[in-house]
Order: sequence, then C-alpha cells, then structure tokens
Amino acid sequence: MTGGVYGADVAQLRDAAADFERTAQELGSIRAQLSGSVTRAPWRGADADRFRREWDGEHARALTLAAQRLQDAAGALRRNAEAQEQTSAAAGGALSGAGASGGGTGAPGGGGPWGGSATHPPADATAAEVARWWDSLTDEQRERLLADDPGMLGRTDGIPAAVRDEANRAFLETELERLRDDEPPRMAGRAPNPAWSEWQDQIETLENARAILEADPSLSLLLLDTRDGRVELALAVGDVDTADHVGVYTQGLFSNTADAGGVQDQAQRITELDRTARSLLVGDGRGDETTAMVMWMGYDSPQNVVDVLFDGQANAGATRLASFADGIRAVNADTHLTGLGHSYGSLVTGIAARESEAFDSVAVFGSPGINGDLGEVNVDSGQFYVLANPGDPVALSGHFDGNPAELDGAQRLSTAPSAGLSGKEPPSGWLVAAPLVSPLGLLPLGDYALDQHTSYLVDKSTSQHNLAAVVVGAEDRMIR
Amino acid sequence: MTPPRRSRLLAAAAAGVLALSLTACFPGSAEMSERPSIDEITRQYDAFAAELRGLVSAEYPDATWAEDGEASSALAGEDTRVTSQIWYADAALSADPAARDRVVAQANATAGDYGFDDFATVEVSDDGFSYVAGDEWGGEMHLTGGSVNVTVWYVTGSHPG
Repeated sequence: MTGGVYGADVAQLRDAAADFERTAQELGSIRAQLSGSVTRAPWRGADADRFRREWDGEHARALTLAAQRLQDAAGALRRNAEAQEQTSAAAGGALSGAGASGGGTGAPGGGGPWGGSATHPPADATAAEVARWWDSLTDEQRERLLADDPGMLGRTDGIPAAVRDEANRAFLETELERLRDDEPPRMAGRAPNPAWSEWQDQIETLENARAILEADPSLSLLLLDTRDGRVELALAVGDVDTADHVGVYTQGLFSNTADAGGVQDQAQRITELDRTARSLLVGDGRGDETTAMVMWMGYDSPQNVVDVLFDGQANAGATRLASFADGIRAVNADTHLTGLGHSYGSLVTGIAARESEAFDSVAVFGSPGINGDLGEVNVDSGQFYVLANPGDPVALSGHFDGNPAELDGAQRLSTAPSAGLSGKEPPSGWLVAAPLVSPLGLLPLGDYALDQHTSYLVDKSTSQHNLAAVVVGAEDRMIR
Repeated sequence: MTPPRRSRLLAAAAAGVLALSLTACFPGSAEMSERPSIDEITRQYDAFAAELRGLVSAEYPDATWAEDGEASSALAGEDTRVTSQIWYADAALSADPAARDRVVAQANATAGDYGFDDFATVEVSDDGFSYVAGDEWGGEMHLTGGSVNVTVWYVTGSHPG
C-alpha cells in the first residue's frame, strides 16, 4: 500500500479501513472458535493428534496471518487517507477527492538504501533490516510515525526499545479508545457472542497493563499487539537498548496477559531477578555493567492441559521470540543476551534459540524438553543451562524429546532448597499422587509438587540466584 | 501410545496445573489491615540495613560504603512494595569465613529486633555467599558477598501507602 492512491475519496478509504479491521477481528474470533472446537472435540488417536498439530502449526497460523495482513492494510488505508487530507490541505483544498495524488505520509524520501518507506519498513524485513531502516529515517519522519502508527512501531522487532515503549504507551490509549467505540453485540443470535467476550478481555487486559505501568515507573512496554484477538505484551525493567546483560523470560502453560494478578506477579519476579543480578555484579566489582530483564508474553501460550502436550503453539511462539531477540541484538549489538524459559516456555525458548543466533546463553527451568538436542541450538558450548527441582514432575517428564538435563553439553545448576527457607520435605508417596492429570479432569496436586515446579524464580532461592548468575555471565557464582 | 509415553504425557500435563500457582504468589501471610505503612516499614528496614553495614565495618574498618542504583517502589494493588538501592563495600568477607560467620551470628542476634527471622544461607560458593532473612510481611533482607564487595539490600512486602 505504499505505491500511492490516486483520486481516492478520503471517506471511502476510512470506510474500507474500518471494514478491513472488522473482518480481521471476525477472522480472529473464528480462529479462536475453531481452535476451541478442535481442542474440545471428542476425537482421539493418531489422526486426531495429527490434525491438531496441523491445525496449530498451519491452519490457525494462516488465519492469524490473514487477520494481521488485514490489520496492516487497514493501517495503510488510514495513513493514505491522512496523506490525502494533508495533500489537499497543502493545495488549499483544490485537490480534495478525485484527481488528487498521494500515498505514504507525504514525508520526504523514506527508507533510503534499506528499502521500505517513511511509513513502513520493507516488507518481510528482518529485525536487523528494520533497525537499519529506522536509522535511515529523519527525526521528523520518526516523529510522524510515532504519531501516525504507534501500533506498528511498538510491535516491530528491530525498533529501539525506548521507541517501542513510547509507541506502545501511545497505542495503548488509542487502542482502548478504539475498542470502547467498537463494542460488538453481546449476543450472536440466541447464543453469547464470543467476539464480545474477546472484546471485553482485550479492554480489561489493556486497562490492567496501563495500571501496572502506572504503578511501577521502572517498567517499560516493549510489545503491545492486539491483532490476534488476544493482547500480547512484553514488560521490561532496565534499559534494553544499552544494558550489558539482558534476560528475556518466557513463561509456559496458562500464562495469559488477561490474568491481571499473574502479569503483575511476574513483573515483580523480573524486578527481583534484576536486583539479584545487580547484586552479583556489584559483589564481584562489576558494578559498572548494567542489566535489563524482559518478561515476554508474545505468543499464544497453551491455556489447557491438552494443548500443552503438543508443540504447535511453541513452534509459532518460537518464531516470534526469535524475532524479538533478533530485534534486541540489532539495536544492542554487544549485549550478553540470555533466554530464560520456564516449563512450556522453555520449549519456546529452546526452539527460538535454533531459529535465532541472537542468544548468548539459554537457561531452561522446569522444562519438559526442547524438542531435541543442543546440536542446532545457537549458543556457545557450555552456555545452555538446565535447572530442575528433583520433585518437579514436568522437569522429570522429558515429554518434548527428552529431559534437557540429560542432553550432551547441558550445564546443570543447583536448585537445592535454601536452608531454613524453602526446604520442604516431600510428603510420602507424593510422586504417585501428584502428576495425575488427564484431559477429562484434574486430580488434586500436592503442594510439594506445585512448589517444585513453580518456585524457580522465587526470590531468595538458589535457582533464582543461579538464573541471575547466568544472565550476568557470572560462571564463578553459579551453584552446581 | 505405550504406557511410558502416556505416563510422560500425563506428567507434562501436570505442568499446566502447576503453572496456576504462578498467578497465586502473595508475599507474607499477615492480614493487610495489620500491616505497617510503607513509610514505617522502610524506616525499619533502613535501620536494619545500617546495622548490618555497621557489623561489616566492625570487621573491616577501612571498608568504604557506596550505593548502587536507587530505591524503587511499585504499587501492588492498593499497596506498595519497595526495593532498596544496593549498599556495597570493598570488604572481602567471602574470603574470610570466620569473619563472615561472626557477622551473620551478630546479624541473627539483632534480626528479631527488626521483625526478621534468622539469616539463612541461600548459597555459598568459593567466591561468594548469600544470606537472606525474611519477615512476616514478605520482606527480605539480603546480605551477600562476591569476590570483591559485600552488598546489603532489601525488598519489602506489600504495605499500605
């Protein structure tokens, strides 16, 4: 949509943009409905498994992609409409409507040798190409982009984190406004309208994100993407653009930006992890080195105990995480970048580290596996770390192609309970009782097993200390 | 599906349920209405941190203290959590286990005066140590040592503003 629009009517352009957006949202709702049907269908066996994998890996992604393209096109239509108006205004209104030429934002040049335009990076650009495109823009072009299309800037990997933060905060407000003005019908015929539930979730999630940012001025908003019917976001503490050490933390099953308490709690976790990392640096006389931690919630994580058994969502998420990491690397070339993956998020992180060369280190904890060995994981020898509590049923499962702690080259780090702090003894027989979960129902899990899987990032724990040591590359401080 | 495979599947499925607790971590267990204000608690923690620095200085009179970063606060619902700056001094406590143990013993002797339990070992390695004490509000006081410096810092639980 950068080739110009000739003789376009501004109102028609905006109507078309609205149509595109509505269709994108409907497509997102249909995808969500179908995914639910595919998941819930009482269909078992090899054919069912294969179809669900195909659905997650191909068909659902195709629908998501189509919805994203429609959203992009809607944005381009709106920008063209604005350009049309500006051109008309500059010509005293004489060129309004038919006969006017336009396209783009009307800004000069754009893109330089890196392609793209003043309104968009090149199509299908890598994060590195986006970074070069951004560098090629003038201050005026950047300011205009921030004003005209903050949503695009905020979600595009390769844009500096500081810019993404500013853009996403602006987009948060405009998106809330747009959503409030665009409430879908509560009912679809005689049944509740799933689009209305999705709409309500989006509003609540955005409001919660705003509350968290207002509550903690040290946080920045590195991702805010609403195009897929969900809200994807990433929060960071520290300056990701300049930090000497950056950790990117990815969660697993049930992580959901709509869970207000969960987002706030995990934001606190990365703040504590960052403080522990700082303490390690200062203690070792490396206080001049800086740190940043990111809580990345940029993928469609499993929300039930069936989806979590398959890797479709991990594969899709890994591609996004790889791009996000590439974006950090493109802006902060010399940083020491660590991928931190918990539970299903460790699978996402492990696959991402095969797709991207941005990570220097990877640490997985409570991991059910990474779909293979370390052969194609792009970190140096000795830079893949595994933390597994002895009573963590997930870490014991090796479900995704083996227990990562047993992979050749993996560095095992201690999670031994801290004396007097969290050293709970396993109750008798817990191993038999704890992991009994089936798609048909959940049997009660013991507190011990629960604690074993979820306590890795708890402050004042050996595992949190070790994860901080990995992030700052403090080999001598790791407890093995 | 073979039995071992099924077992692993079920175990992996447990991950989902376990992850639920990620959303259910709350500092401390005391009733919010009983909690001191954030100003009161940070004054108390600051005093304890100063006492800890004094204990280290008693062992290393030439050590000089400096600060890294700034204290930061974040709202937790209607309440506030504060993370302190990091105080650090060039005291090689890690290399002197006897001195380290004396500091910790004295710290434990006074921890109760500030509402903290005894300092417990989080980790000890050749080049470092980390002791943490907690209080009933979910606060933590950290006394850690690296190859060069000793650090003292804290994070509070949630307290009314």
